[in-house]
Amino acid sequence: MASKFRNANWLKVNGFAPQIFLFRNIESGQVIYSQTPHVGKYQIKQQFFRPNWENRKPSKRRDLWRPMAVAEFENYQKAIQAYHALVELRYMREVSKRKEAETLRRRNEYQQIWYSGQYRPTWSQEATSDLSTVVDEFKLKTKIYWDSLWRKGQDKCWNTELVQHTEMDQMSPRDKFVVLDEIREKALK
Amino acid sequence: MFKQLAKFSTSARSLARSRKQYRISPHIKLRPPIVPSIDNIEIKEDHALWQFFEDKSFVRTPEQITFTGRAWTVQELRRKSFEDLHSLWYVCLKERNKLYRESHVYDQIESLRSQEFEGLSEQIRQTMIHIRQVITEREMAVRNAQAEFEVIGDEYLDEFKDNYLKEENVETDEWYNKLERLQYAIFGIPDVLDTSLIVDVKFLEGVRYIGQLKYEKFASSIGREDIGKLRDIAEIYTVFEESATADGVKEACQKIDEYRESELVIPGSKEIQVVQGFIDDKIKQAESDLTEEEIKE
Repeated sequence: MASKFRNANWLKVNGFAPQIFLFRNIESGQVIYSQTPHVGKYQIKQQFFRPNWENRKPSKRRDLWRPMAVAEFENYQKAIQAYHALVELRYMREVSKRKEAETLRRRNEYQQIWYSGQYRPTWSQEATSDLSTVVDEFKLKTKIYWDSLWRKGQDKCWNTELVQHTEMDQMSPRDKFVVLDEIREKALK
Repeated sequence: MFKQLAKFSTSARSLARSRKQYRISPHIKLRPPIVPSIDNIEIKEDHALWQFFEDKSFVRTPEQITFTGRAWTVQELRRKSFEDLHSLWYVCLKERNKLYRESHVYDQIESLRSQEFEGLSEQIRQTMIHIRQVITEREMAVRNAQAEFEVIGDEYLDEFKDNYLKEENVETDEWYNKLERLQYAIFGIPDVLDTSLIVDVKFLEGVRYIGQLKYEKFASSIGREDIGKLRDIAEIYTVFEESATADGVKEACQKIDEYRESELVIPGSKEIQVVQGFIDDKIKQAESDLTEEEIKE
């Protein structure tokens, strides 16, 4: 499913909705964007550039990846456009605009990216910020399902005319695919 | 500046070539990370964890908890009922939970203020120890009474019976309460029967004693001495379950008349089963009455 790039027609034929899934790694806080509700080797290869000790290439262990948000768009073209933009913004943060991105990250007393244990909250916060950039940049009408509304941050970060925020059903990690599937079905109706 | 691109599929590349403004501008300004905010979370007013907070504040200052009081003494607590002690125990427990959480907050920032919270918590702990002391005393008193009852029990029951039979008017609240307490304290028969009740030898003893007592008291006054001795447990139970009044016993006697027509006598070995059956039937009857009322409503 998530083993390569999927075009609009493929998504439509195979019963997927115009959505992007954001999965968060509960160990490190890294985020993966996916067109389908799965995480695979392909996404890791595509979305993690220039790994270092602070931003390692994550494993694809399914128990570590929890849904963070599902962004729903008007049609498949827009969903794919947003997906590309998100991956490109990730590339900018890690490669082409690395210096700019580094200045925005919160530091600890040793000037490293702030962390507790293995966890760096900045990765998921950047993903949220990139999502809001994409929505504003392309003026995409979006509905975002958050695992907790806590993550969406202050309202001033979002264009309230374009974005509608809701919360996913609370689930145990074992049932995450059931909840994601329900969101997909709701979008297709 | 934007030479190296993420490796996208060919369709993405062709899309990027063919349409303007399909891809995000390489000159876009990165936004700072969006920090999660608790303003987005609504907490229910009656959330259970609020019980760990005083007036929904994060921590109280030590001034807010300055106290001039002291722990409850054992002497004071001895005068309280079990219900009072029970509620006081939980008031103390909840307060200690709050104090412990708050002292932990001060501990985390290595503030010595946490000691003041622990001091108050210690006083409350003293109260709780005293509550346990009082309850233990009462428990021991009950055990002693039970042990003593095994020795002088029969004497006591005979004395109670004499007093009951000699008394002119026993249809008073005082005597109803005495009977109720006696059946509960000595035979363990609660006032209201429920499904968890299990009939045993002691229960039967109680039924026999109370049933016989009521019958002896009222038989002559309602003119039903013709029944004579109550023959088996079914007859005694009929008297037992009616109220301790002349009318109650009269009604029981009529039922006994009907029962005697069938000429059944219940053998000793079946007594427990039979009484358990009576109680279960009664509870079922009560339940079905209740549901009928609900349907009517």
